[in-house]
Amino acid sequence: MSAEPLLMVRDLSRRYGDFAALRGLGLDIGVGECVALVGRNGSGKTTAVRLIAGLLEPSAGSVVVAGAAMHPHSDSLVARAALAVVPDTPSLYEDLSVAEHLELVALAHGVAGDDLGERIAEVLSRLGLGERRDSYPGALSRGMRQKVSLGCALIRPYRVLVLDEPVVGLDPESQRTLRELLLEAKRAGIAVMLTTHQLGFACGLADRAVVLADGEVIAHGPYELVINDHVGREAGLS
Amino acid sequence: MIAGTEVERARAARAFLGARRATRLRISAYHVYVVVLFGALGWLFLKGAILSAFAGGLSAHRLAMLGPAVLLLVVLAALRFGTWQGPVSFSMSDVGLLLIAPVAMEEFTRPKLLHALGFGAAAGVLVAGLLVLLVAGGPGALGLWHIVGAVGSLAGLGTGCVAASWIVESSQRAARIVRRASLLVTVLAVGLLVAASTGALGLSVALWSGPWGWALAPFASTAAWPVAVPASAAFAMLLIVLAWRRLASTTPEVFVARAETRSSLAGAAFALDYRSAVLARRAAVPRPGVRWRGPRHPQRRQFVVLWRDGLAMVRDPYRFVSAALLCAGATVEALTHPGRVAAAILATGALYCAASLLCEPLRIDVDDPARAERLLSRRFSRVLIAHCVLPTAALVSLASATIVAMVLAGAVSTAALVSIPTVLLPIAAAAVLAAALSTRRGGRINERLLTTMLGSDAMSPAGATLIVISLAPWVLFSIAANGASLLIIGHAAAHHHSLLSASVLGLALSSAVATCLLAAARQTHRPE
Repeated sequence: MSAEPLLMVRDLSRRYGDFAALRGLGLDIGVGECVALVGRNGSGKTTAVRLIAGLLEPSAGSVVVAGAAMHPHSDSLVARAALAVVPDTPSLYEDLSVAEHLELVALAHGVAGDDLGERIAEVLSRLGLGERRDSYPGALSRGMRQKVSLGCALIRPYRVLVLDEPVVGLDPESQRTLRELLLEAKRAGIAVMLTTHQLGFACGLADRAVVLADGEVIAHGPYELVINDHVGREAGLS
Repeated sequence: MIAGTEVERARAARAFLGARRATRLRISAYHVYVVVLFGALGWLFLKGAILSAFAGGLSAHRLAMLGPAVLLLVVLAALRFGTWQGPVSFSMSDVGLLLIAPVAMEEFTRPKLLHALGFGAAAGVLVAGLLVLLVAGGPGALGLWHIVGAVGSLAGLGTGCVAASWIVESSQRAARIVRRASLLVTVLAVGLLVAASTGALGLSVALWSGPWGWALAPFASTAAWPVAVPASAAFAMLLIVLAWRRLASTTPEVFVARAETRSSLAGAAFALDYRSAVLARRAAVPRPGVRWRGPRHPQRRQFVVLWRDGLAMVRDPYRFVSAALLCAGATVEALTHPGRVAAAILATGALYCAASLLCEPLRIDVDDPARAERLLSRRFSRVLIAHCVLPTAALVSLASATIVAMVLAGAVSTAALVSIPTVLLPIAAAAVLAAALSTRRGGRINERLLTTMLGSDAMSPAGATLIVISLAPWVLFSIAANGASLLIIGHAAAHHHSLLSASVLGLALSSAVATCLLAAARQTHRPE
């Protein structure tokens, strides 16, 4: 593990008027490390992901991805290039096929060349979507749409992978595939952060856990230790 | 690590999307068929209204009197649109796939703003064209230069509205100002209308009060209209420059909340769920509330709903003031045009809208009836009726104050005061009860209603009537019943018949209507 973490989150806070959605989140994820952000609904997980992705501006604090600041947005090109995000709800263009989604994302990330078609085929095959490459999102199940969303993240180069509730809608087989992909990413030196309700999925995958409740970190440390601790149970996790 | 500049990558992505969509969005025979079909249906419905409007014409004086106030409200609507949506918007897919990519966001926002500005200009030209045709005498009466000036200034106002809406969209501070100033601007619009109807000086004030008046100067017989047109254009240019400058400083956050709102609205529209659409829109626009704790929670449970409705009224003054304006407008309309069917419909419709606005706390209970029953520990029908008390009292007080003010101003005779102790209470109660009963459905079209509508022949008069009645039974009942009471009294007043006997008849009718509605309210059950 290198000395410099790939994802550094410092005192990250976000307020909506009087309501504090996230308060003072601090997080370091190094090379090949995986951190699970866990907590019940409304605990601030998605807000944290959106702040890290640059979709929201923080009220305080900072996010540094691969040595580059994510905020302000206008100066965050390097950070955005190094960060791949899979949102909690797969939002796809209804008028683009599965393969075209990957092609579009590749273009937006400057990934081009003769082998792009092969790369798309490889990613789709890995996700079990090889035969669905020309299908449109309207013809796909929730789980398949989630896989397309994941494919969009994997098609381009990245150093940090952030997944918001990635297993929602996935069948057990797809969950196994996703788990293998994430373990492979870890081995390749990618820093992974995921949010989840399903603690079993992250077991053996996440090195550390950060437990959020009402926008605040209430526990953090080695995954098994934190999850087995009473704090995890009190946070309403299953 | 990645190829190309951020601008090149953004352009490549845009070109890719454009090329894919261009091949799939070719106009097919089916599209032509749909446009022709819906065009024909629209013409069928609107033919009468359009033809009568063209036949009647619109005097330049009337346009100058009404126009500035109406256009000011249009400007306000454009600004308020910017607080929750705005002219530049993205889908959730755009946000999730493109705006987080290392691309120049301006490459995506700029074309959208340009399209919106073009749309604003086109809308201005269309309105100008319609006004030119509608103004008595037609294009010949106006003269070529007046027409050119009118088209130019209204196109300028259209683009200015779009630019201002984008400024509001991209600036939280501007959005806050617009939300807080909305009520003031509405009052200002009413003030312009009143000023314009007082005489030549008031008319000039209205016409020169701002771009909303300048845009109409070429229609008015004012000699200074050549000054108004460049002023209107300069103001629009200024707004466009300011809007353009905001493109560089926008963050994706502006578009995330708007994309989510659009997505929720689309979902609600697909499910024919009006209430969810309203809630989605409201979630996007935090209203400036009044932080007043109010009196303590009452000890006796009979007063809990009353206390809660009172608190809601104070904490959301925009809703109460809107209801007050509608109620006052309805009273003025009913008293100044007695015995006229259109005025009676307008007045009772406005009164129903005012009642509906004041019934919002009930709607919140309907959203979650289990919670309401738990908190209030009463049968739902009792909760519904309890929610009608304060709105009825508020409407009676507002209408009474309006009548007294009109009598004092000499706008109506003292005989109008008779209505306060007689018909006012049952009419207001009927409007509130009808609004409350309508609220019970929760803004959703249930399966039974949908089946009825789908089973009706929309092209036959009977079928179309059935659909309209099914969709809005209580508002139609309220307008018909209250309108009849107003017409009976208004007819007597207009034709110098016995006002006393008409008032007694009106009182009997409106009381019977209110009693029927109260009986219906007592029979209501907890919504599903």
